[in-house]
Amino acid sequence: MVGLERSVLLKRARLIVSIIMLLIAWELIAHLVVAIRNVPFPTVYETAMRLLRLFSGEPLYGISIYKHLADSISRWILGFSLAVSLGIPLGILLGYSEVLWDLFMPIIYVIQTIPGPAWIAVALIFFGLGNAPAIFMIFMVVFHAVVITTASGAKSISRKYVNAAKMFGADKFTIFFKVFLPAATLPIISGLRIGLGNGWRVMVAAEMVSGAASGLGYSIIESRWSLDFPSAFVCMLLISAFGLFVQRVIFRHIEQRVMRRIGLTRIG
Amino acid sequence: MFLEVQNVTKIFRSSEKKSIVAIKDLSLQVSKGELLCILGPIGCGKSTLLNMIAGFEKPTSGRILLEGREIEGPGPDRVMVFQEETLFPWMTILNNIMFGLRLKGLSDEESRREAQRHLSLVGLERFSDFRPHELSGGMKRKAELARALAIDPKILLMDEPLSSIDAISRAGLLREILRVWERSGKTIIYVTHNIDEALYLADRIIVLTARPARVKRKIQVDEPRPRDLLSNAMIDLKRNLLKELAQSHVLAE
Repeated sequence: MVGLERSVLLKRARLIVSIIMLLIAWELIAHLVVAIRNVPFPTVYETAMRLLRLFSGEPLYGISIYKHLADSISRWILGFSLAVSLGIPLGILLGYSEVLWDLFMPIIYVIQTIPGPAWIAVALIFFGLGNAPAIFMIFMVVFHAVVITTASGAKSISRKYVNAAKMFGADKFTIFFKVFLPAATLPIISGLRIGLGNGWRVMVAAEMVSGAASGLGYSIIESRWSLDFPSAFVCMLLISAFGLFVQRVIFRHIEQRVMRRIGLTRIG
Repeated sequence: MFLEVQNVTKIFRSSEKKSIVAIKDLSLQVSKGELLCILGPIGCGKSTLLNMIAGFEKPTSGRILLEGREIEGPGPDRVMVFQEETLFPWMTILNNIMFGLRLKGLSDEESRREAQRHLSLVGLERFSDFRPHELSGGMKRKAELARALAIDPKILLMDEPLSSIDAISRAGLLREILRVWERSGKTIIYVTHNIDEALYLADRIIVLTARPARVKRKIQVDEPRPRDLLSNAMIDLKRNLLKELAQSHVLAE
């Protein structure tokens, strides 16, 4: 037991060292850039101060940082939920039926090759400026990730279970609901995990190009004109911190509960 | 004849030009209650043969008859214990075994009773409420054996069931398989590349050639069971088998 605790402590210590190394590298680069290019590069301290001022309510481009964050999150959640509620059923069907796979998978692969922000033209034609085009771009990126991961995973994982069920004389209904669907849980979760990350990253890019007048991505792109780079750095920090929090803490927790429930272990 | 494989050829076509002849003009007969081992090098097509008997694949030409009727597809009269694990991980061991019994039309209570009975048969009665991932590899194999036997198939197909099991558990499982066979009187076709397993279990060993698989030799093993693989008679048999397999390997090169 002592050995176990020690190794856990060591891991924690290494994590802290890792973060300190990142901060030191940042600080060094900041000073180097100032010395060589003679342009201001936000240091750790300046960024931290800006973070405190923004958190204490100082507006950024007319609205509070909390509103920026909330707007980003709500766009992401909307795009993500829409994509998941359509993508999971479609992925399951494509994984189950070879005919549907052959018909629809090529289309999904075409969509996959197009990066989220490249949908800007389509998004503007559909929705004009505002929230909707950003949500649409998030949707497109999460959708293909969920469909592809669910479909291919469900297809390969469930094959052996489906074969076993056939052998015991199961009818199509039983095979689909009692065997294929539970076996597909794991790929569905992987699809969600990948979609979550993809969606969060493309949200930032979407806000930069879609004409949304708020959000973390919008605040970063605005710093081109305002030259308020410390604020842009604060937004980057928030993007990273919130992304890590959702994926590593919230989603990991849900994932592990589901895994225990179905008695499977994680792949990949 | 109970099971008859008549001049079966299986060709896998991967594209317009490429095709692989997995099995060529293979014939064999299995009588009721027999424990037949099919022995051949890895990748020789012996699993393909078993898959065709199970009904997962169709022969390209030739026929497979069970009690005079041609095999159309998978069905509960021919149950396979696969090389990979196929217990449903989201169900308890008991529910896994009840799955096939319910499909046979047994009531919940009957299937529960039958499932319990077969779990005790393989010594897993205390683990009925466990999930597969909570069991060791050997115990999972026993559970699969119980699941297969529970639905009372005419024939039990085993596709290298012990290839992922460590040598120590393997000895115990071999004894278990033998015991189950002796008690149930089931016909078993046991596919393996392991000479010792075949020698320990089989009434008859069929040695296949390397791909495309054909019957190279049929060897009757008359030694009484339980067999001592280190007895002179068994060592002689093993020497013969090794020679046969070495030749079929050379043929493949």
